[in-house]
Amino acid sequence: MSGLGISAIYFLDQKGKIIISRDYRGEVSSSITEKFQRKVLELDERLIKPVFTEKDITYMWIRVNNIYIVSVAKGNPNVALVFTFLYKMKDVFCDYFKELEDESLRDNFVITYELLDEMMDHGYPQITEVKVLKEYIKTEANKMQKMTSEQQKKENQKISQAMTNIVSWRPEGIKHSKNEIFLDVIEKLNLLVSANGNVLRSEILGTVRMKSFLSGMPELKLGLNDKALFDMTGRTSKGKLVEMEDIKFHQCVRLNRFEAERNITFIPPDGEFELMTYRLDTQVKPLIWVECAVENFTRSKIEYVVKAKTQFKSKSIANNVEIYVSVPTDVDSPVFKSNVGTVKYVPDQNCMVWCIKQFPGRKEYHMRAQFGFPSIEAEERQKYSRVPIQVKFEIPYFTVSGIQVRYLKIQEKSGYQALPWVRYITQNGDYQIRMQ
Amino acid sequence: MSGATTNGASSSAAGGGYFSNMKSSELAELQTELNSLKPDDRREAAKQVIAMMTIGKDVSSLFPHMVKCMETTQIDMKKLVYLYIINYAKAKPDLTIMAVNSFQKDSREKSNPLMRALAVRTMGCIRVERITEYLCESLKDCLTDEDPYVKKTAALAVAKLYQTSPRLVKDHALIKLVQNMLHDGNATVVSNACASLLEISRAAGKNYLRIKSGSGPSASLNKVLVALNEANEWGKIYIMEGISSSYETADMKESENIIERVVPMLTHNNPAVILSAVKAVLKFLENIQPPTGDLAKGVVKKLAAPLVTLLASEPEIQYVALRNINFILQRQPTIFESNVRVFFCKFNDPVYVKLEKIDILVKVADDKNADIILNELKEYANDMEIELIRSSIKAIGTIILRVDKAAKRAVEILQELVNTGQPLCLQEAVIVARDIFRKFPNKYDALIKDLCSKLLEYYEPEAKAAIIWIIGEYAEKVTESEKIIDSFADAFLEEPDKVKLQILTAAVKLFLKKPEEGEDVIQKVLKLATEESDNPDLRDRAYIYWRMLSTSPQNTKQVVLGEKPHIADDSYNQYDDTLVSALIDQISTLGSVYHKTQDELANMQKRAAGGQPSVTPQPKKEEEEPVPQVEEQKEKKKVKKQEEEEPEEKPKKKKKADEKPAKAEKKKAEEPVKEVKPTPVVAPTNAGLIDIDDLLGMGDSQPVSQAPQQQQQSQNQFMGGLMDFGLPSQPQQQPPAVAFSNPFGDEEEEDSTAGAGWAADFGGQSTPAEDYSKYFLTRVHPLMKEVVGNGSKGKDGKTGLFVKAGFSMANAGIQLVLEIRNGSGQIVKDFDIMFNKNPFGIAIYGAANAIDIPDPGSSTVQKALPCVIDKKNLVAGLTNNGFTNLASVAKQGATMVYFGAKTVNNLPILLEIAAVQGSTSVSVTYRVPVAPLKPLLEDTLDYILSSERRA
Repeated sequence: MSGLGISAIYFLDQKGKIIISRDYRGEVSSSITEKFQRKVLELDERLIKPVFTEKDITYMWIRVNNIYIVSVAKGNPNVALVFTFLYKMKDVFCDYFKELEDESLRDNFVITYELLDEMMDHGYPQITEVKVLKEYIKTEANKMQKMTSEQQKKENQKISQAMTNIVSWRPEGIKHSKNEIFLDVIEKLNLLVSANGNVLRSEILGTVRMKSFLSGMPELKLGLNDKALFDMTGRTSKGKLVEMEDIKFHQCVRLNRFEAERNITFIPPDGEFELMTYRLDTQVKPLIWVECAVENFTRSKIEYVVKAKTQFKSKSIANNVEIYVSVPTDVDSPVFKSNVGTVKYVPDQNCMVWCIKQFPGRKEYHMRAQFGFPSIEAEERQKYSRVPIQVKFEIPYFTVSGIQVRYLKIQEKSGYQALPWVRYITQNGDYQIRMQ
Repeated sequence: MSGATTNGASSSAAGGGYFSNMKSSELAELQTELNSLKPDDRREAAKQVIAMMTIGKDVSSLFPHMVKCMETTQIDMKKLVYLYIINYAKAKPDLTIMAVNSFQKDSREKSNPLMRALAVRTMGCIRVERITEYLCESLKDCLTDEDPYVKKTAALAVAKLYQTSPRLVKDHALIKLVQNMLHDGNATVVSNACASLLEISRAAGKNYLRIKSGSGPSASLNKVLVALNEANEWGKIYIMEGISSSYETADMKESENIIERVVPMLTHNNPAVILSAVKAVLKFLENIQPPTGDLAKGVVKKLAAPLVTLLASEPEIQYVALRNINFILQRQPTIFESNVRVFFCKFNDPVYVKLEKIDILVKVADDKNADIILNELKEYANDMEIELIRSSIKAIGTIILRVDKAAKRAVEILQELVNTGQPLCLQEAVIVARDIFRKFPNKYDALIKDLCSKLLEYYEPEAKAAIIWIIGEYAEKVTESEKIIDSFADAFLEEPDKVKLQILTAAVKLFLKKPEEGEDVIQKVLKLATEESDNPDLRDRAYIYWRMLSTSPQNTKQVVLGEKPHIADDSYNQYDDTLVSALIDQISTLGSVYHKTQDELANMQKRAAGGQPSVTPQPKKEEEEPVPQVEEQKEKKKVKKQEEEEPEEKPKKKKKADEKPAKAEKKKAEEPVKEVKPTPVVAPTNAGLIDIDDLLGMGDSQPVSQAPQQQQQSQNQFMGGLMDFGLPSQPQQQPPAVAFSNPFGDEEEEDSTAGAGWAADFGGQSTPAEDYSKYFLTRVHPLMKEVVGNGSKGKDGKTGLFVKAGFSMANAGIQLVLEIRNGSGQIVKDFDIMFNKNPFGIAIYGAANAIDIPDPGSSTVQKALPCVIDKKNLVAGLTNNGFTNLASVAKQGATMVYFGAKTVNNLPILLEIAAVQGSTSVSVTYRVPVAPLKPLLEDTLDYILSSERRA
């Protein structure tokens, strides 16, 4: 019987051949990837579940670019842990190799082995914090400084400490000439609207990203207009308060202090990281509402009238708005008419895209499109109407939820002054409007 | 320093080189380079070796040279060599011993903790007991190292060692050292100690992860809880898993305390941490009293949001989360009350996620939210994905059964789908509609009309069966129902069995409801079902209806049109409480994905791994191997459905069975001739089952002619279907010389009265009683099969003689009916019929009878030849009592005969009768699918076997 972890990890190319693998527990033979190959590559991938068991071996796999990352386990592995690890591992590799793909793995096989060994031992994830790993496992490019043996010794101790430190995400002794920290509050709006305009589901997924360039071991405290905090302390606020449903923190945040006092305190990792995510389940009006009417759908042509309307304050502007409207698979000779933006037909996605560089609030634009049909009708021409309209956009200096950073206090024992910079942006998430 | 200045770009070019084709001469080259004096050359060479190893080339011949390279202080070089050693250690244990010294030295390398850790980590990966033996002392040192990085690595190394050799772990008392680590000040060490002990406990089947509460020196609970806070994300998981799987709280206060410490973990951004925390909370919540108190409520409330957030993560993780939510819901049904919308499918969700979401939508549906859920399901029913359409319509059906208030809206939606949806929609909708009419009889008549307007569009068997059921059930309401059923009856023979059965039942209902209009149809269908069908179930049912109708149409009405059992579908995917508790222990593991407990999963895997290699488990495990409880429910449902058709069947059977033992007893008392001891034993072993399965495929005696076999078998199964155990049988041992001349004896009459007329028996079939009403159809002719035809050539290669043969029952026994026609245009002489040996032991007696060959051109001559069964009388006897002989084997002086039978409701029965030579007793082993059959079967066997003595 095996533990919570996995027996081995395989990186397979598109054809199912092993690019590189690491057997952690010596309990499976590597020929088992053939089984995986048979199953996933030869059957319809769409229908195969991400976890399945053949005989006594369980396969858990994800797909990244052109490779499959397959982990196998015996017994009763912790599936959630395995998948989470696979994704975190993917992030680590992406950080190291810029791109995780067939080529980059082959080119960096020595580092890949080193990382696989450090991230996981005996099938148990150990550390997936890329900043710390980079201290220890260096690419060819940055490992070549010669060190005296004394320096080396110090360095080694430092690494060992970093790997097991309570503050596992930040090595000591970081120095920056200018102490700055940047905060991005990014909100993604997930929206599902029925054809008649009913909002079926709306959800805001917020992220607070940080780019920290602070020296030493700074102690940070972040203040938000969090309703729960005000409720807890009995204070009232003139401004709007936001009720966050579910908050998730980077491991640097002291979770018990948050639980007890609702204060967000932490020692940040150096560089870029995601401090927290939150979710709000509030009913949001569609910021950009799109209506699409199909007219004159005959054997020879189809016509669309697309109406897009912004429903936010006029002083905000949505940038790079892209509206995707699905069309039947066999349309040809598109003709578009629109006074704003450009429209393109994207045959391989069976849709047209209406791009509007800048779309101010409280405005409404129209677009007409016409397509012809070939004389031989494609099967299931009608099915286009099942694909919802999708909208992409970015609205800077604006958050749907109204969340605000009230303060970011930075304290370090050396007592330097540091500048926090804050930016807000709202983007589309899964933003779908069903067609009629 | 050849690669000293290379950056990413040029290293990629060099890297490409590693994987270029290598020739065997290169091995020699590498060997030289590995022995080079320049460290950088050596490193490059080592990289080459690893590259070759990676692409699966055998570079084991370089082992000694690689081991030499271990003598270096450069850690990256070390890593390469270690990687190599792990890879080949198992294959080359003798050479690996050379590395032992180096390992020992490295693990004591004072100045470099990374080196010590690397050595101890690699040592554990050498899975050769006699080598690891040398390394135990080093491991012991590392376990008490001052550096936490070394310690945390050593903790896991103990688990590795335990995998290779539990003995060594015990001999060196390593577990104790790991247990001490639970008190360590470093959270990483504590968490790895937890992981290690947890694994060893699982492997040993004994708990070594002893977390103790209190404040004494051995108390570790608090330390572990502190570490939970400080550990990194993975460490948190090990600690929480450790606590929830091995710690039993002493009192409520302690449970509270643990929950309090775990709850903050719900705000972690690692999904696995969240699920582990949910597990711990739910687990310790069981000790919180009262379960509906404010404390418990407050905690449960906190679980919802994190679980919902998991649904925004990667699809694979969503899938795991959804599978877990599925049963968590059953324990905490109110948890998602306010936000069921989170389970709405997104357009780009993978199918497996969508299907899980639909499953959950059904579970969370209640009076308040049913409408929005139904509207959403309707949306999916118009999707493109086949699986999605199916399960969403099924989901609508289940909601109708579960949520009474929603039924009206759901039926409206269904109606809409029927009228406007795609063809596939219709197939599923009609199946759902059938269940609606079961639950709400005579309520939604408009739906019937809509469904009947699409008669030609049903193409799936299940859908066809459903619409026919509906038409039969509402024969009086559906306009021209007789015509519809008649048109279905016209295509009767082409339909699958499922549909045939429904046509039959519908025809009966039609006849009962509209005797005038339905008479033609019932005549036609009964005739087709009994004469043209080779499906025993269908024939059985047809015969039953036939008998019932001919005995008493009034009673038949009560039976067929009687009130049906209620189908309240509260049981939908509901697990019992103990299973839910077991599953909560499984949260986030494989077991939780399959909804199986730890033991079930282990058994399943053991079976799959050790069992027959030909049987490969299917990907959709959880559907195909549902948890037993569910299966049982399904079984019950099935039985229910069957009963619906013949609700009176069972009691009658019982009554009969009750009577028989009494009779048997009497006879026993009268004629205690032989000592026959039927000793029924349930044979539950797998091996036994496989044995029988194997035997089924055994064709030791091939029948020569197909026709007799078919005929015989179908008759057997017909009998089997009715479970008429009342008929006497032949002894299975020391067969008496008496031929099988009058197998029924006086029993026959008694039985047909006892069986209320329609407990069909052979005698009755061929000699219809006078009081058979007008509904009784003409006698069944034997199924004639052509044995000599156009394709068969005579001695000189001539053709033209046609012979059809079939078995039938005559008053005295079996007879072979021959139909001979001479189409050759000549007079045929020298006509011999040879009967091959067959597994039924049927032989012709009086075969010397002259058979006249008709003159050419004249019509067919019919001839009936009486037959006897002269082979194994046991076989013949039991087969006449409804059993089918599956196989006979003789081994080790004993003869084993296997029989199978089916009850009316298709429950299989398997019998093994073993007779030891020279002994007068036989032992009977049987296997029945449901326990209530046991006494019935025992009584019956008792009766059959003892009554034969009388004969």
